[in-house]
Amino acid sequence: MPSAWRWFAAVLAVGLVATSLSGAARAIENFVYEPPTREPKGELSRFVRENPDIVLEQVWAFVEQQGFSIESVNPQDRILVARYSGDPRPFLDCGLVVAQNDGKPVEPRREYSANREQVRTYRSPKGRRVGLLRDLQLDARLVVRVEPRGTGARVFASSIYVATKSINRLRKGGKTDELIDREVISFRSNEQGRFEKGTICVPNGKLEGIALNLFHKGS
Amino acid sequence: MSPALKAALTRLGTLLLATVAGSGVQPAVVRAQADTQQVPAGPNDEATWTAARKAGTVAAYQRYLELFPVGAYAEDAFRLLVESSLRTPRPVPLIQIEPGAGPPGLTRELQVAAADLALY
Repeated sequence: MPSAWRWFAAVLAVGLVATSLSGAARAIENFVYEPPTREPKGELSRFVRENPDIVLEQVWAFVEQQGFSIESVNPQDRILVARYSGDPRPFLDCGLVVAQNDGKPVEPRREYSANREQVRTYRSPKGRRVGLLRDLQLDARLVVRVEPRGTGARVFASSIYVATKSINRLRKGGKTDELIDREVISFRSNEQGRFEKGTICVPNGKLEGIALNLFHKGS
Repeated sequence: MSPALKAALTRLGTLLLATVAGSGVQPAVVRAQADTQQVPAGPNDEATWTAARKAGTVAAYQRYLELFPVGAYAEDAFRLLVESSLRTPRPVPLIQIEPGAGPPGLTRELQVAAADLALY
């Protein structure tokens, strides 16, 4: 092979290797959001063959035992209100955030649930690294009604969800700094919540289920 | 007496009294809420809600929820209650991402980054 061809082949090989290496090491280009596919379950109810007052007492004890704070109990109307504040993950499905490269999910697939209580990340606009903390907080109000039904009672459970999304700047050492954005949305058991920028959160029915779980299904 | 036992006894007492003696007799722990709770009625609900909105305080929203636990405005009241109780100051408004725009103290890089992240 003439030396000119040999030189050309060497340059081509080096170029190909360099191209493939840069592709393999390329950082994730962007993230895309995949909304939840489930539907909200709405108000849940269950029939219990028991005196309604006893049923209310059982629900009260059970909900309290699960760590919820009891906001009020009205034995007359048989209404109990409990409150939850904290991590949204047990009760909300907010879809997924999926890492992409060239419009396709990266291999191996990298994703995180958008209902995570805290996400620390950064962006590098114009090469300057900016740390950010995304915080999602859930405040929920569970309302349980017990109504007499023949020889027993029907327990109804529904909730109001308030989701608060905050974005703060993160300084060196993970120190949280100024609040950059905050959005508060609310929705009921039979609805989905939607943040301005597109994130959708759907109640998974587990909060309402807490009031009913102590009773056997199918009764 | 342990708090759990105390709570259980309170619960039992409340329900026994409410069942046996009717609605007129209720122990103190529940009386505060139960006395003020009513079956949601349109005009009362509306009037209480209007007053709560006017006051715009945590106490006013809480009061509405106590009076009307399943009231027509319970969702709004609860959302506003949560919003009002957020302790940190309101955020700097986010913005047109144009060179030189935006509030002072927030760099353009930070605005762009935040707007990008806010998608999720």
